[in-house]
Amino acid sequence: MKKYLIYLGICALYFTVVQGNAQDRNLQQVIEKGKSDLLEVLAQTGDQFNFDIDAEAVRGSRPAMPISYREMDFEQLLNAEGRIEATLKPESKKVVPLVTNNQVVTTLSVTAKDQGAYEISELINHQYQDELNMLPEEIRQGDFRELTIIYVPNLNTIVYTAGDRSYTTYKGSSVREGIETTALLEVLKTDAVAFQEKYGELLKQGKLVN
Amino acid sequence: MKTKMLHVITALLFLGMVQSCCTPSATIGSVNNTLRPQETDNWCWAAVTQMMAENEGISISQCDLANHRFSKTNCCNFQNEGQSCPKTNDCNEPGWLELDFAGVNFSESATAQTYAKIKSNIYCGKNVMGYAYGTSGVVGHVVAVRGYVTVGNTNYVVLNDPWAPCHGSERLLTYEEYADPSGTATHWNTWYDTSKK
Repeated sequence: MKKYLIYLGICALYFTVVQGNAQDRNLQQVIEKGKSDLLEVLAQTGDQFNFDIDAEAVRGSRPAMPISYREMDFEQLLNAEGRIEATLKPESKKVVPLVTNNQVVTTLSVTAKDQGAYEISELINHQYQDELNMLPEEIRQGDFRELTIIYVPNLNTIVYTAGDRSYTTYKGSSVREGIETTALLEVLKTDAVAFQEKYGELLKQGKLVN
Repeated sequence: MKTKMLHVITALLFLGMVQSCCTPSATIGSVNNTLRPQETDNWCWAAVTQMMAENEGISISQCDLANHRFSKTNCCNFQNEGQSCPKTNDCNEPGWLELDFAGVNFSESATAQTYAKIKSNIYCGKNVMGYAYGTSGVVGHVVAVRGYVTVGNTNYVVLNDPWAPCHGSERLLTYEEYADPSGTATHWNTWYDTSKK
């Protein structure tokens, strides 16, 4: 019986590692495909579109660490008690910066679809590009490890969080300067409560966009 | 008089035939549409209405749309002296497209359009389409669809996104992301087959 359990444990470990490696390989392949598609789009479309991106810079770029993108649960934000993690929904996509010389050239987004396989979902996002480039040097040199991008609905703002420091342009803040994540959460919570008082009933009556 | 009528009918038939014969390019299509950044944090709906209206030859400002929606008269005021964008915070509120007020006829659908329909609208109809998405219970976002590109087996739609305020950007989504957005968001609405009233 003991031998049987050990055998089962080894099998489970083996399949976990194999699956993880396969997922990593799939992610790398999807990122490469996204970059290749972007180059193709830039070559094909000429001046029909104005993507404001240098094809040569994209060609010479390398993918940095994929950054987890999560949306804040507005209901949880209304009742937040100090931990930002507790207000977040599961990861909805990964944002992949393409970098050259520590500068983000553009970003791709990839989304996990059926059975955990990734697919490209977005090419080019100037907001991420601009703001990632403004983050402190140590975060960029660290290839954006430990960074999470958080979208706060209704308040319509993006927060870049690395541990207990967060970076945002919310209410005129600068992403160059970090603030304590717990302090930011308090500000967001206060504004979320005000938003709910003003628009809560209206949102029950119909959809709104901003 | 009879001959004149015959000419008009022939011309209409010819136009109808040309339109029904239009086959969209398989790989790329675009509508020439100027990107209009939203003029407050909340005015994506006004910016997209403006872009769609301009495509029909109608000139309308975002702040006029806001004045109408919020029954105000001060929405064209600048928030910061000497800067035309952003507009006053007094009108900085979410909304919904105002195509009817702007003078645009349209069809709309809560379900995503097929890629073939998007191609036909853009390539043959030269229509700018509206696309709203979001999560139930919270405020969503709306963008203008002004092109498509196919690379290999992957279909992309090209967006005139009025975000960020006073900047905006052109970006690309896969067709799958348009039809079924990541995370908890869903496709909310597509506006298509537009014409001037």
